[in-house]
Amino acid sequence: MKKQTKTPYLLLLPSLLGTSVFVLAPFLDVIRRSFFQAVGGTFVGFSNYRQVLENEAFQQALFHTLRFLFTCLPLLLLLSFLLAVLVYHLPVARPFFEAAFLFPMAIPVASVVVFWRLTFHTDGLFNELLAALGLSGQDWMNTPAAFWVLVFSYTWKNLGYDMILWIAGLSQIPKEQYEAAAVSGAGPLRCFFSITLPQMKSSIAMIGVLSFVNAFRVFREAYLIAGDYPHNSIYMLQHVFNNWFTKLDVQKMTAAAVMLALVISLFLLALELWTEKQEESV
Amino acid sequence: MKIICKFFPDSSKRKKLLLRFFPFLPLSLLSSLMVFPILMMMANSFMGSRELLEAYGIILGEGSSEFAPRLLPRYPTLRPYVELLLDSPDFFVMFWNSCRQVFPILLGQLLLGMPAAWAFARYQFPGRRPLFLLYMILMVMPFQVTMVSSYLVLSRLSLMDTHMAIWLPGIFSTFPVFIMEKFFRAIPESLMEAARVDGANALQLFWYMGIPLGAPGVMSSLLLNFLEYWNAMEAPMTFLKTKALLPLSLYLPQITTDQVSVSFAASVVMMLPAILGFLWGQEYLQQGIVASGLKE
Amino acid sequence: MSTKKLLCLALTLALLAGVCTGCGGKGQETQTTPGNSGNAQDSQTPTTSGAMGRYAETDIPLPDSQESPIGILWEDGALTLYTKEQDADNFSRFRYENQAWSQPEQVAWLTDAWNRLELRATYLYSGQDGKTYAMAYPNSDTLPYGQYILGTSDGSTAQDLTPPSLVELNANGYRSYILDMAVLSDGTLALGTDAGVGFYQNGKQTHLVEGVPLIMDHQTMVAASQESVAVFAPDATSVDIYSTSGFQKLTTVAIQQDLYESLIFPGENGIWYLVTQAGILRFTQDGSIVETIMEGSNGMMGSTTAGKIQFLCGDQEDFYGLYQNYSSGTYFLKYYSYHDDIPSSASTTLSIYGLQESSTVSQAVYEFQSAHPEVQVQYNFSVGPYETPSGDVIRSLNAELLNGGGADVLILDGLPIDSYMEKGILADLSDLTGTLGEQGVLLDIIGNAAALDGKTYALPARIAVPIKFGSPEELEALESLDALHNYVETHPDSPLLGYTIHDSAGITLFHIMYQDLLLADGSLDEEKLTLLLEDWMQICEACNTKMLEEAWKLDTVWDRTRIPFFSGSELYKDGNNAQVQQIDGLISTISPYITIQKKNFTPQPVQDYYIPKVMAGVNASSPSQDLAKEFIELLFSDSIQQLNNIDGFPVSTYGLEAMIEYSESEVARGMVVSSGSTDPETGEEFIESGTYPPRERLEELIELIKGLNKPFSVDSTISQTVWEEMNRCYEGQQTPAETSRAICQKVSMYLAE
Repeated sequence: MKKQTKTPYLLLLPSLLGTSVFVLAPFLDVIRRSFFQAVGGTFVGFSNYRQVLENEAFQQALFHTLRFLFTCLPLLLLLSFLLAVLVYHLPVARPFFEAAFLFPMAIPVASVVVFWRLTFHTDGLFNELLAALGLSGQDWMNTPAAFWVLVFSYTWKNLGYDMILWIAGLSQIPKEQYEAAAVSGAGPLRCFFSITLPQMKSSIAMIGVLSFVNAFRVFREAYLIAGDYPHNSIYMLQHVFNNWFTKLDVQKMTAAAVMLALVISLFLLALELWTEKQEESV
Repeated sequence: MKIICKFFPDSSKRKKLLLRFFPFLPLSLLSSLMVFPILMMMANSFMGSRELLEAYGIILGEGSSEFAPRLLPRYPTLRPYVELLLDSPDFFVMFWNSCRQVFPILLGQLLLGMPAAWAFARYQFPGRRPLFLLYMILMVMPFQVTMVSSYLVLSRLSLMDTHMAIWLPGIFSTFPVFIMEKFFRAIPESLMEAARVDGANALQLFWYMGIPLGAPGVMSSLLLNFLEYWNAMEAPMTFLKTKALLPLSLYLPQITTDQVSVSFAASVVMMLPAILGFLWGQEYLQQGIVASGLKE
Repeated sequence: MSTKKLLCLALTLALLAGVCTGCGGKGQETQTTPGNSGNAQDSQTPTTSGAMGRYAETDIPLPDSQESPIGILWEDGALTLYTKEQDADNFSRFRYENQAWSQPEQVAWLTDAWNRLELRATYLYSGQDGKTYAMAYPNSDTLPYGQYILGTSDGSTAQDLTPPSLVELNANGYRSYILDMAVLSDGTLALGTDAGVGFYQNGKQTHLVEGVPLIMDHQTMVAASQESVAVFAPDATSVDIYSTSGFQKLTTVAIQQDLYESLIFPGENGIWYLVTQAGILRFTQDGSIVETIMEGSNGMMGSTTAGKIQFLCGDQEDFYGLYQNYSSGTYFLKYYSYHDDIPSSASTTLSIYGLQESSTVSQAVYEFQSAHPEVQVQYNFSVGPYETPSGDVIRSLNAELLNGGGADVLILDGLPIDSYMEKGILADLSDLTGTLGEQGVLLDIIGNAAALDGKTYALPARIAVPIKFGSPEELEALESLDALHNYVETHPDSPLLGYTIHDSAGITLFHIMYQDLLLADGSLDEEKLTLLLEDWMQICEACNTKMLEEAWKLDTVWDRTRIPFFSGSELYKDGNNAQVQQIDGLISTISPYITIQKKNFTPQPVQDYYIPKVMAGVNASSPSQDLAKEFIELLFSDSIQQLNNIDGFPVSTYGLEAMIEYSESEVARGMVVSSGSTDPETGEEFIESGTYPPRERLEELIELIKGLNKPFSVDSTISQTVWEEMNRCYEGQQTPAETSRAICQKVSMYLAE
């Protein structure tokens, strides 16, 4: 990496300017609002934060959100990586499979929701399938199984997406390394652990972050299927934000958002440090 | 098995072949699961309203007939498409609005985000890390949180209820910068060094080496952002008031249960550009991947 | 080229083609769209000074005559008014020239039609062939009832031009109704019936196109100009344009407003005009330009108390409109012309916003605008009166409010009023209460509808009243949870609610017993709720709801935001049972009182609840506070309170008394509501009809209303949750205990937020 004085700033400037106005400024306003009353401009210090932390609905939602993240992120990452490896090494028809797995991303959310409703309704497809196998079904969206429906929806949608990114990452590992390893007699598993994995580390970080961002987007589906107050197991942070907003409780919403941002930034910072250390060692 | 044995008597080669073709089975199963809903929707979009009500009425809240989903229409008809494409003038307006909203955003992201990503990836400068961290945090915030504040900014700038209200926050989103940065970073320094030795200046490095080598990243970013903004619902709903400006993503929720057939057709039509995007993008994605393999 | 690339290319081309055809259509620019949220900040910026000129309405006094108007036409370069004497064969016409009416001239052919053909002309039409036509009804029973088309060639003898096929009686002994007509330049008749709009030449139908559904026996369906024919499309929100030869559909022009009470008439050179409540729209026959040339609030077309009879275009880009007031029956003739010296838009704006359209507010807007021509009044709403708004609409509104924006006057039905009051979004209206009290507004009842810490933040301009009636024991059962439980235990098989359906019964019972279910912290008592649900299931069985729902093929889509109290059917079952009904105004009294009078019941209040409607409040950040408060005062004035609509009952003494006066008026006595029904148990068909209840009954009702003091304020979120869970319980997916737990959980989550 070269040390430069002016070029990077010049390259960065237009983006920075625009981002400051349209993305950063709103965010700063959010932080500002977290210290004030919702309407009227009375400064209240940290009382909003206290209110939020003590709020039962928030606590529950936080728990469910964490549960969701810790379940589906590893699941998605592992599964998509596995698929990526398999698809990458396919002798033929690779683009076909790539396209097939990407398709779920193309469907507009509203249509996906209709489809899920058709599938997971009491008289839906899924229960029909179970009936054919001799098992009984129920209204899935109203039981703790709703959580798994959401996990399934998220995985289904993002599998191809992550897989493509893994493949892009895989493709950046020079083939010579594998050839060299094959010559020195290394088996496929050895190759995987010594060549593939280390060079995928930066990809892991990026894909992890992206999947994390997408996990928050799952709210749209949850909301369209189950409304403002779904079954407890899928009642997540965004539901609380949404409902607070409807009731004009923006002071709580912004305080919670700031705390969320803080936690995430700590996490991202740690990730970034780890990535850089990895790259330096390569 | 016998055939394979006949053509490939060598057992180790046979094993290798099986190993190579083995993944096809689970992959095919899985991909059909991925594609199934789309196929079903496409097939269902050729069904008339009555047939759809027969099949799905009970789930959509009307009728009490038994749920009888079907993959292929019993009475295929083009009527939903006709109704959609010929009889609904607002569909086209909304489609055009979606195009008008999405493509400028993608263009802007390329023009402004790519240099920024390049700067983050290949240059070491004071403030780089905190700035990039900031970019990442901004990316994560859900829309509900920033909605009110964005509203404030946009209305102060008198941009409410215009296409700019959708373009500007989209162009300056930090998400594409994030994606592209990672790919730019992964380009080996050695290549850059070699080019520098050959006399290339910073701009030439960026243009002739950075972009082609980082093409997978750029394409991924374009693709993902296209999907994001093509399907975006919250921002247009909040910042656009005039019906004439609403994009296609808001058309579907408007459709009530007595227009179910049209909604399927609309979903299919809405999906097409995205699928087209993939097919186009895949070409370049592959090219990019191949190009990165051509070194030295 | 690879196959994939080829496919790609083909799809892209197809898409481009589609987009291009759409581009042609995208040229439609509707300059004013209803349904957007007004912005108080906008009213701060004055309109560019110097922008002058707009259409204004002036009144043309009708000629002094005992006859009533039946049409206005443009004949020989002047406005011609046709009138008719009541129950006699005299028809006259007056010409309007130099701002004066000519002497009446006898219209011989209409008299001839009355005497010789026994047809009484009721509506007049100008044909594009230059001749005059009329639509008539039979004078006696000799001719089958329906509309007949009259024409004349010499002005003194009338011809019956009704196509024979439309006069034929069908299997039930009825003939077709002709709801509207137009005549093309070649004499072709375009007649609107329930089959659509048919084109008739020489008495035979040559072509048929789709039209709007039939809802009244006279409604606008079709109009003709020299160049094209305009037909209201089946969706009632757009206009189909057809060519005059061959009747090819040229285009469909989307208007995006309800067209049922609007009029369409042609201008010159392929221009069409449409008069709706939103004003006068002008569009070209290829649909490329659609613009509002006059705002409805500036003219009588914006009023909800007068109906548009006929409109036409003069020869100077001016318009004439004939109106009739619904309640008084008086006719008005209005003239619309472009005035260069009036500012095109007023310097001050008053914006009013409500989630759902309300005719009470529309009428107030019209009256306020007339009284304040220097103010531009804007009324915006998100959905029509029969639709349900989505949560996203509320959030968009909140975004505006939080930024100091939003309309000046807020109609708060369906909005989170408690949150708004807490957060200081609404201005304090306590100073208004004094004046309103003096005007006779029943503040004892409505004063606490939106009050916090002793201050009033909003007042309902109308209220809906739930009542219950039936046999005494059953009525007692509906008093409290314990009473209900006792009744169900002692009479397990007695159909408490008569004919009912499960979801209405359930949600109504929940609402009635809501207070009993509340715990001190605002959450619901799970055990009591379980008991209620069990009782409800038992009642449903006893009432045999499954059979009823089967027989009536009801779907479960029910707008809970409008009707929290409805025991399920307007049909009263013989025997001992009680019904709960919600009355939304004078006109809604007709149906329940048919039963009440037949059985001589005395209606009782339901827990002294009333349902506040048209809750009007002022945006605290509005720059036009005084103007906004004036508007609210207008909502409670006599002229608005006396309105008879389904927004609810009036809330002032004047309004309530006017209600009784109206019910005894001639117009009201002519109103008969009939509904046909099938008795679900016997399968017998019957028709019930009735009119407004008599004075004593209304006075009794008013006394009941005056005794109410509790605003019903169960959050719609809670109601919705309960309704959904109850449905699941009914379908057997969960037990009452589980349902109760689910409800309590969701409600406590809602409250915990």
